[in-house]
Amino acid sequence: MRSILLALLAVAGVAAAIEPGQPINFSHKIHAGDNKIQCLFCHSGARRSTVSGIPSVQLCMGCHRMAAVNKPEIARVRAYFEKKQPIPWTRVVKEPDYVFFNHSPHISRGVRCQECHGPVETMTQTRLDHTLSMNVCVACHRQRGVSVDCYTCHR
Amino acid sequence: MSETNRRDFVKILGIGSAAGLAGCTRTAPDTLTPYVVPPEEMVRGHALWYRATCRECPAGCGIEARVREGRVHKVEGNPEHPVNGGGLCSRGQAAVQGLYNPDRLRTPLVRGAGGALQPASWQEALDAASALLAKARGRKDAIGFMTGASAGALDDLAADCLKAWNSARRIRYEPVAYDSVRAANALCFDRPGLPVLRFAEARAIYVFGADPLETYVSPAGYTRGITEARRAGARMVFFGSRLSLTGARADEWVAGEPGRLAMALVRELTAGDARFAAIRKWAEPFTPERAGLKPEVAQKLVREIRANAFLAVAGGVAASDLADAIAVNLLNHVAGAINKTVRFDRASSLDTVSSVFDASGLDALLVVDANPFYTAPPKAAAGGPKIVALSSYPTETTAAADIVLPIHTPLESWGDYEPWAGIHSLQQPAMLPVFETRDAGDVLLKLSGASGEYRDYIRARWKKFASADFESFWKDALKRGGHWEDAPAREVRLTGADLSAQLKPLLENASGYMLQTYASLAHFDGRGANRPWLQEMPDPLTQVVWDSWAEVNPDDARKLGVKTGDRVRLRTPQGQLQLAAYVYPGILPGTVAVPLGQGHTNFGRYANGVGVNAAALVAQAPDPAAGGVRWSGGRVEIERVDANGGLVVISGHDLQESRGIARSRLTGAGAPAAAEKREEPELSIYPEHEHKPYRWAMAIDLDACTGCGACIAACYAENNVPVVGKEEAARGREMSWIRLERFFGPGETVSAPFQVDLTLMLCQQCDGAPCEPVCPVFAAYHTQEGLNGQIYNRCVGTRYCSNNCPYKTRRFNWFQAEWAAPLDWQLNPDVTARTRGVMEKCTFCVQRIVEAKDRARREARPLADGDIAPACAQSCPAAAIVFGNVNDPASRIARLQANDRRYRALEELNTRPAVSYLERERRI
Repeated sequence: MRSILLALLAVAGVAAAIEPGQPINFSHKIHAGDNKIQCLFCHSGARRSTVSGIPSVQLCMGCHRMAAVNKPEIARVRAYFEKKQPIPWTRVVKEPDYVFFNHSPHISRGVRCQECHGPVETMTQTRLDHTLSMNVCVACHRQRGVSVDCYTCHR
Repeated sequence: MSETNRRDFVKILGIGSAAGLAGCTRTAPDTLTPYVVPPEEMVRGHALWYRATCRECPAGCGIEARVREGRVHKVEGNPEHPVNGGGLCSRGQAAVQGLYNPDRLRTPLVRGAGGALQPASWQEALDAASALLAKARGRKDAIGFMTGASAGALDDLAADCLKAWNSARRIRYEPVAYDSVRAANALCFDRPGLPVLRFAEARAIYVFGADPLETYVSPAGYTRGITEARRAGARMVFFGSRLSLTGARADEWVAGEPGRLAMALVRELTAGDARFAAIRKWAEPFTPERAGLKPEVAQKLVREIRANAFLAVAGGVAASDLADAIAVNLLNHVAGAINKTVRFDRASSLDTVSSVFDASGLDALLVVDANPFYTAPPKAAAGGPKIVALSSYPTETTAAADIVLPIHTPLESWGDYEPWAGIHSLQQPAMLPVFETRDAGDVLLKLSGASGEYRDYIRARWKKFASADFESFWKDALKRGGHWEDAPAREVRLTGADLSAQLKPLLENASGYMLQTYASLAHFDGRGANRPWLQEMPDPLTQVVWDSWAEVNPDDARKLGVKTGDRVRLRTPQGQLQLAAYVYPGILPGTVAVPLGQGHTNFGRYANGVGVNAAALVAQAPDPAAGGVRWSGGRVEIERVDANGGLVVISGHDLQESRGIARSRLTGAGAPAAAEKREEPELSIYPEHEHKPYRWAMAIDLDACTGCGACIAACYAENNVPVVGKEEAARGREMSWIRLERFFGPGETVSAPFQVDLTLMLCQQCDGAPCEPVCPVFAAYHTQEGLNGQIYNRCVGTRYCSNNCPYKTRRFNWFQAEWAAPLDWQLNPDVTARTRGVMEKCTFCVQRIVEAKDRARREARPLADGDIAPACAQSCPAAAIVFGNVNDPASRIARLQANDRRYRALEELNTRPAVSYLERERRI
């Protein structure tokens, strides 16, 4: 009996970290960590929109026309661009559809990206290793004295 | 195997479901697809607005289409447009359901050897059409080109096409063409066109059978004008045999035959006036008694006409006789309204249309975005022209066509339209085409053998309007929505021709029942019937959904043994129909009224087989006097068939039972003093809510509200409100967040003289809300800003809140809502699409409140009064709905709350609603 329970708990535990495979071995560590590129340089939507946005292939090529052109992963990015195909990234962070999270007020009030997304600049493969539950949102909102009205996120 | 006891079983069950839930929140990975090259200007999550022109009726209102991530979600009025100035009617709002209509034509169709329409490629269909036209071109005038009202580039292109095709057979067909008004103006003023009606400048507005608040010529613009006049103290009087919505909004209903009533007023006004000796002679036989006008009423009206800026309006479907229109012209003339409130400065795009058409002798007929065979079915006889139909939807006309070419809807097309001379309104595609359709202009250019694109054709045409640099002019015009030119004043004079012969028919008395058809508020002449919102929105007066009906006076109903909902048979020499009866006290005995627009046979799933087509009762031939279809005035026989009319009337009750829900007061000289205002004490055993920094509230001015339902359609569009269909609506399960309540009397009986009271009922956002404390899961709660929040993902569907709501404005999702693809593309991404088992209701468009706050914060400024307009307030052509923050004493809403006409519904329940109403005034 106990073993069944433990097995079930183990299954539940695995679900806690999401580290999906990606079509290109993109490393946030190289970009945001080693080269200190600002998050908002690629995810510029976060400044003024609800969604931060995934950079266009054109934006990737803006640098990689010159930078690291010989790397095999960059060759794959170039292939997508030349074939005029989008890169089918696998989603890492997802909110349920009844949550209306808006990036821009968080960014404009100086919330650091890492506070929700974790230390992305250290990740060679992007993962989410904690839960973005309502509890996390509400705790932070309480701590900063921001509205915890349900309509803030649900409507 | 070890025995599992109950306790262990429950434990495993609990953990199992926890693991399952963890799997739920972390849904299977999905793909994020970035742009390869991002389009300019677009930011995901931000709306873009494109200005264009509404083509849902010939009025030509300016619109703005809201586009998110490349899809149009909503259409609103363009506040800079001279026709509508920001408001938009329900039909305009429903344009998006035309765009995403699941029944849209997706491929060209060509009639095959077996006689059936077969799908074909664009190349095949265009080749077939070209071959057909090439063959017909051999004989002069063998090709006809039919559109609806179409002033602008399409008109020029039609002329080019016909030139290339060796023909001069241009047909502009509109079933509702106002032929009688135009013919009367030609006779009286030598101007065969519609007048420009300046309602805003009039202080006595007399409406003779017309429906300027519903469908007449330019309803959104006229509503705005009439509201402006009313705010300045104008009085409106309705003359006619059926109290239409326009009539219901008038201060007084003078029941009778409109032409006779107008002539009786002419007679009284011209008595002893040497200037009008000839007119007085024609008017001599029209005594007030003959028109059924009491002498004291006639005298009062005459005094009012003499003392005020006057405007009379006639015509439309419900009064389509030439004599009526002439009588009203004479009345305007003797009252001094001509060249003042009734002007002829601008020609209308409707001046060149006709409600009848002649296809005889044609070998080929090209029909562009018109549906003539719905109103005037093709003759069965063989040998008619081959038909090429350009249409976005299957219609009765495409069913009869030989080649069908699917075209873009207006929201996907380039175009321009000139509803009134000098008002050049532009159309631009707000999104990429939904299906593999083509722009009608591009197809026509191809068929006429010209090269190039329609967009360039329009630009070339527009070069003449630009004074300097064309590119910057064009950009400005697209941004503004068009180009408006001033119109020089053009005075008209009475021709002086003897009109006594034309007025003769007004003296005749006929026996039996008179048939009156009228353009449907929701579907107009039938072109809106495939939009599910418009089917589900109840008709304001009858409260019927998804149907047609025949209105019968209660006395006649008694004689005929008919009750509301019984099936009756209507018979005229042209045909017969069976439909449900609706016993309506607002119609004169001896009159039977039927709305147009239903009874389609090939117009998609939402229109087919719904109601009956009243056009079948009316001769689709020119009336000798007016030259168009005589929609009303013919004789009809009526008899009861059985009790199975299948009518769905969604109003619960016709009377207010003295509860004061939709209040009105008499004002003006001789009105009784307003009753002492009953102030209910505001009591609460709970601590007061502290609303800060905002307290949202709404005021609905029932004196301005016309009951047109634009707000309801806007709410459907903005808030992803589902459509349930006739069967569920019959069970009271309609989902509309706004209910248009209609009452036939403030007390316990139908009022005499008959009057209709209308009000909007939506969530009242109570301060002491009965819904909140009964929710066991806190899905219904009170927000800091005074809203009654409803959190869908928390709701478990007990329905306690709805049971406890005295206003009955909460809606329960009995079923999973379905949007037939691609109707789901219209869904607003800022609002949850609710699931089955969840309660929902008006939120004051909280997504707009949040959006406005974000915008203000981004722009580093405080929220200003007027920054937030819920969808209903934004759409209202009468600007009857005001929304704002009552904590700000300078806001419009705070000032309206101090208005002495203000009241709140069911105030005695101490719910302290945030929605207040302003009593309607009935001016005497």
